[in-house]
Amino acid sequence: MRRDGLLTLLLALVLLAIVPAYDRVFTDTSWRATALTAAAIGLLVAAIARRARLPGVVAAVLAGAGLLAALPWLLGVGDGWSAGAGAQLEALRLTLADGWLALEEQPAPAEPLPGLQLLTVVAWWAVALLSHEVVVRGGHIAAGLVNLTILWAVPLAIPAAAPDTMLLVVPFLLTSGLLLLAAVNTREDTAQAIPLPASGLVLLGVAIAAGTATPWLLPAYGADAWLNLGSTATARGYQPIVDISNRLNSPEEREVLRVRSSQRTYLRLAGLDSFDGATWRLGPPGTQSFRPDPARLFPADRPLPPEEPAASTQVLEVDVEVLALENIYVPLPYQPVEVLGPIRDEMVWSTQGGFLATWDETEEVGQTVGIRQGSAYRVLAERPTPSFAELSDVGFPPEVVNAHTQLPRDYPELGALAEEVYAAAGATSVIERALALQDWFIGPAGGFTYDLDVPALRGEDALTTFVLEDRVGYCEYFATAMAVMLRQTGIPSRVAVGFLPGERVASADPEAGQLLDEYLVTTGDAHAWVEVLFPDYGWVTFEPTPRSDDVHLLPRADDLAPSENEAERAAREAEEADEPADAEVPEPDVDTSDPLDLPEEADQGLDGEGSAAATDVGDTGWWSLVLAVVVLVGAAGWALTTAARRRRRQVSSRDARSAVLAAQRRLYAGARRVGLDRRDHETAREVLARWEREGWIDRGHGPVAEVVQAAAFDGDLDPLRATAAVATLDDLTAQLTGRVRRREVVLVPLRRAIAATTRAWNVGRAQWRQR
Amino acid sequence: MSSTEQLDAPRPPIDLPAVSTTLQAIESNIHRVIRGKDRVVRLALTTLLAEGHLLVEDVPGVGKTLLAKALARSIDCSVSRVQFTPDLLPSDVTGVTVYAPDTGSFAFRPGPVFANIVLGDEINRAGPKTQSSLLEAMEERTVTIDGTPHHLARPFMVIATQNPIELEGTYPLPEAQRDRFLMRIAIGYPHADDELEIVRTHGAKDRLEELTPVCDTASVVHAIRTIRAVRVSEPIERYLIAVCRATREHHDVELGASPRASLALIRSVRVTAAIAGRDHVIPDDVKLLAPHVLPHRLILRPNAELAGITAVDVITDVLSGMPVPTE
Repeated sequence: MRRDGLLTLLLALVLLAIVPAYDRVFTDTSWRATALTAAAIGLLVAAIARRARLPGVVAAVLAGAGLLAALPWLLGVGDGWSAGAGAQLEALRLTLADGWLALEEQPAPAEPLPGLQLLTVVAWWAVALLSHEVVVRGGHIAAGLVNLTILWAVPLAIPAAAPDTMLLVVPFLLTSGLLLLAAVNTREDTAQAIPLPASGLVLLGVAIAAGTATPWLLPAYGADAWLNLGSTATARGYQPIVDISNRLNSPEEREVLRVRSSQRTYLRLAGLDSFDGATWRLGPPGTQSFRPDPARLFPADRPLPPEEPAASTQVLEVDVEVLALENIYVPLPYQPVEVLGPIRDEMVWSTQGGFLATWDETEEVGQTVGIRQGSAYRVLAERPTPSFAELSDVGFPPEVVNAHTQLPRDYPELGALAEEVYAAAGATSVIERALALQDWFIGPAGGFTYDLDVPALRGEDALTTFVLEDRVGYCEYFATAMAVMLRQTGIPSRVAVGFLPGERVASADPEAGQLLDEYLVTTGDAHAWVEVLFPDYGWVTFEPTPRSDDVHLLPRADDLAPSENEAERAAREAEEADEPADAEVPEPDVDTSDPLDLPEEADQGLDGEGSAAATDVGDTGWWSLVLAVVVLVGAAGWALTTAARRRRRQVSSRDARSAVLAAQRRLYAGARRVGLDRRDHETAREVLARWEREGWIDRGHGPVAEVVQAAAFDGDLDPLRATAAVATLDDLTAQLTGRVRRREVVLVPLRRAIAATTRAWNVGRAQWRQR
Repeated sequence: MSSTEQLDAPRPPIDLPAVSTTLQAIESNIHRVIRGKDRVVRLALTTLLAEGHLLVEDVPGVGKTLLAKALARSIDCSVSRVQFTPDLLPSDVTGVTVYAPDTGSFAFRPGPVFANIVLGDEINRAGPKTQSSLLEAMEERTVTIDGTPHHLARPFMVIATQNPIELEGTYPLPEAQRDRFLMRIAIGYPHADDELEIVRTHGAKDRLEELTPVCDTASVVHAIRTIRAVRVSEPIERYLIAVCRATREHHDVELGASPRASLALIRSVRVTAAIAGRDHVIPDDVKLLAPHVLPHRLILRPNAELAGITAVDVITDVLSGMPVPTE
């Protein structure tokens, strides 16, 4: 009992020591309490069940029930079991689905979303329970340590920005070493199914390899797993839409980008061409895991071809400095013509979705984190600025419409509603309709409210419920709804994600050498909007989100590509009402070749330092791994030698023992074959004596019986005598089977049957007599 | 947990050679005076080392007293003899506090029970009160007189004899009392050749007088301690318990062997193994001792007794139907 308690305590310590390893998976530490509570449930229930002498299956069931009961409370999912088991189960199922999706789409470190936490909780619970059962109940400490090591090693696939090697490795080594010591000290009978050498070397290797080779268990992207075992180890496609809600919901608002730009502009990450019923995704419809078409990828170190040709454009120059953002997609004004800055060598431009990313297909390394803190680059863009009149005359070829109006299912209610809106506005052309729908979302007619605190847009009817009933949501909801309604009514559209222009923190001051306005973009500026494709004029931005803070740029019939946000516009219009004479807005100067704004060398140095640091991090990681293995192997070796010294002699005697017993079994089996069964009540001595008497074997086998019984009943066994006894026993088997006549052997089954019948008859008769 | 796992634990060495030497010395010493009764001597010795008491049930004149005396003499220990008679008082057995006029104080005068080996002759002739005073001492290994506990010697063994034939004016031991004896044995008449030998030698001199101690009580106590370490593996334990339990369910038995019987049997088989020089018990040990340790604890059904079935028959029947473990 004391041993059980000690081992459970050590298991809890090891689990605690695994916590630092998982800190790199999540952006904050709120996951710790939930995961540790789940592990505690697994461990405690298993320990109590063990104490109550319940079987392992019961322990697992009880622990599962405990976890299920605690889940709603732990994760804040659903209304609790008291409110209805069906609804709660459904809520958990949806959360789990979200979790799987988040695994695919979330970069690490990820926000501790309920879905991801659910997966973490289940993993910790399962490992805690399994380890308890294996270690305490099964007594296989080494095998239990493998579970724990896998749990510990899995997050190693995520390259941490600054892994604190000591914090990561030392606690785990200490606690698992203690557990190994406990293996030596608490097990008096040292016959383990899994011997310690295996625990020390092979199993540890297996565990770490399994852990590091399974990045798909993690929200991870941006780098390969440490051990690249085939294609499964490469990072997977990353869908940018999920970023928005995370950034918007981020508890603390962080400054993401510092932008210097000649005018306000949305900074776009990507255009999402396909809708799967819940989320807008990169790539053509129907492709769950998007790999860009290599033919439509272009190196970014030369002028970029446009995604869609645009007839009337305005040149725009934007300098971006990354303050806190790690992303393979580069925020930039649409649509870029040229990228400047050393980092451009790492980037590719895709005309499929119109994004600039560090997505290197040529070297088969998948994505790498492109921009990161300190990255700086300049983008020259040509902003589509078509006029209302130009767009009114655009013709839509069927293939364009077809390519950008696909939906996973029909949304008849939304289509009808859109038609109603068009009719009410008297809109007939595509541009009129798009504007009408945008105004319906934005204006009082639609009755929509902007709110971040809404449930995720998941489930079959979530979108229709949002548009027809709730009418509360944030940009992702509005953009999704408008794009779906446009597509439903045959207008080629998609959702784009990126950032709002941000807050202007410094105006251009040519005298001070500052030619561009400076903007600060924060996590709160993450945004999604709608783009409609007008052939020859490109993707035109529409803004269906009714943000109350007026920081969005709202296209109107008279200005389809505004450069002032709603607040500025309102101020200007108020001013114009005062001074109707001055209607001209001065266009800021654009200087495309200012070396001051982009100190290349400085950037180079910064970048060089950054990559050096990155290499450093990798090296430290490897070294810590090697250190971990070395120390653990050392601990295992030490434990081994102390245990083995005690055990060495006994191992051989154990082998001898089983050999003797096996020979005895062979003897009895052979005897049985020829009809000379050992009678149930006969001891080894007695049966050998009888066979001697009956002449089936030669005389003088007392010593063999002695050795056999010593082997069977815990006696001291001399390996030499044991070997001799095995030979003698096999010889006896040969004598027995050899001396019985062939004919007798053939009759054995018959005699057996007769004997059984006689026995049954006698028993029956005795019972009858008693009655 | 299988037997294989248990035995690979580190275990203390068992000083069996020393024990066997002691035992063989005692045995051969006794054999010098008791002819042809090897089995009986062996059983008596087993009882001594299992810290039990022996009930010898046989007709007069077959050497019951001689056996006890020979055993006592072989070990350098004290022996006392109590001839149980109907008028024997408990204090005649346990001792008495007497007034010593010279010192003016009361002094305890120990009774015959304060010896290493106590021979209680014809125990069934004394009244139940006296019988039970001895039986209590056997169980408790202390005697309380006038409120003062007095510890008995170690080793302590009572060899009680009972004449099963002459039953007039006797108080046969009830089953509850018989249970306190580890074994009940019969000595039996000697073989003709042995009897001839007995007649010849006893006529000449008292051979008992020649018997010299071959070991001291300390080595006997050491042997007892050592024997406790003899291993009984789990299959053997299960087999032994199964045998005891089977007597409770046997159709000829009214009252079967108690758990005390299981304990007695396990203590005795350890001794048998040790005497044979083994550090482990084998099923043969159980089979050998069950007919001596168990029968006197059974109460048979009247019809079985009428049919002439004895308790030993029952045990033999049980053993022949009980599967023996082979590993």
